[in-house]
Amino acid sequence: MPEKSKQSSFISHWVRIRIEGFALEKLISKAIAEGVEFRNIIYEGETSVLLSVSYEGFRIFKDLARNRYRITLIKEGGSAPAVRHFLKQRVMIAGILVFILFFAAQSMFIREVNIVGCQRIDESQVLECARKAGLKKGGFVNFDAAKVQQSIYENFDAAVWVKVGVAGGYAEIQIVESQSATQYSREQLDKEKKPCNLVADVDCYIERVYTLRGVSMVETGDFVKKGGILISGKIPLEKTTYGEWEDLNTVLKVHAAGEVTARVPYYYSFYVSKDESREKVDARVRQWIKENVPKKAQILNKSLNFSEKENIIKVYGVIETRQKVGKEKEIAVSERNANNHDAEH
Amino acid sequence: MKMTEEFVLDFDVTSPKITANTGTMIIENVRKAIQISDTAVTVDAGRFFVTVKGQKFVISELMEGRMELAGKIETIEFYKPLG
Repeated sequence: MPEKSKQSSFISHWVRIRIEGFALEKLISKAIAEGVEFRNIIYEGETSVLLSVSYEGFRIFKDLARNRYRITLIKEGGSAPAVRHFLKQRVMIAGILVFILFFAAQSMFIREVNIVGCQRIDESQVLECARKAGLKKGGFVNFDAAKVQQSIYENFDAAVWVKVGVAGGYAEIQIVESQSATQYSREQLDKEKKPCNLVADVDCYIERVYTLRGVSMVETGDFVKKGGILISGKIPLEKTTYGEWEDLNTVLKVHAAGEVTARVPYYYSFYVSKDESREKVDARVRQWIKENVPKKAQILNKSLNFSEKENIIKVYGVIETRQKVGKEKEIAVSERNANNHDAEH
Repeated sequence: MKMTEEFVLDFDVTSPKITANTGTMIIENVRKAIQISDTAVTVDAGRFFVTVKGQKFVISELMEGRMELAGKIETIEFYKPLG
């Protein structure tokens, strides 16, 4: 059997001891003769020495010392006691296991689903579509990516390339949309089949009109009252063929679409008592703006006036904003029939 | 020194071999520790006893007939054992 390395026995387990007694040198010499190795022998006094010895050497040393010397164990170290000490720490082991399990669980589930490349397609609809196909936040990472891709292709005509990838708990859906694709999902396309006008939802001064579909009825600088048509869904068509209906013009009804930016004045007024401080009045104006002006509106001008009447003060003013205006209003059936009737004649 | 003498000296395990500087000393062929203290260490190294005197001695290693001594070394003395 090969001799065990003395160095390795020191690494695996060593002890620091104090030996007390007479003729300590004799004992040490005997131990040397037995092959025991020592480290850091420090002389404390004529009858006391501190030294380090491997655990195996310590057992031999104890046998040699018998009851003539007093041996005190001061410290022990090495890998074996460290492992023993570690194994005694049950709570810590449990904590480490929980920690490992937690990380394992983290890598088993989808932590986040991100969509890249959506410009016109609604991300929430893509997420919903992916969820139905098996990819969802909190779901398992081993979902069928091909199925998700197929589902997105089927539901979104505008998607010309779809790639679903997973890295750890992070899933990413990359979508490339077609250049000519008009907005969106089938549901939206169905909705857009319905003819409608784009009408002003507030009184406003037109600044800019981009017409995507339909005929623009307003120009920059026009004042439009609430309900006034901004973009008409009725496109007049002129006959290009000659015949008996040559005098008759017909109308093509479409779903009007576009972007209209306008300046919108908001008038406000309220009464305050004479004791009210200016700060409180400002706070009320801010509150009024918060409650009545759309969040996305850009405030351009703000005026604040006071007029005193007896014991109360009237506060009034105008807040001018720049904002997108317009809402879809379906073309009335009667209106449609009238047009059809015109066409028949 | 002749080469043969040097060769014999290298393989002689009955006499002490000492390597020393002011702070560390290594004594080989140590058989017994005769006296240990923080100012003097005496060892039996076969044909001679070696006594090292100095201050703040710590035997940093004592194994396989080799003693490594750390501390301020002042003198090294050799004694021939009686008998």
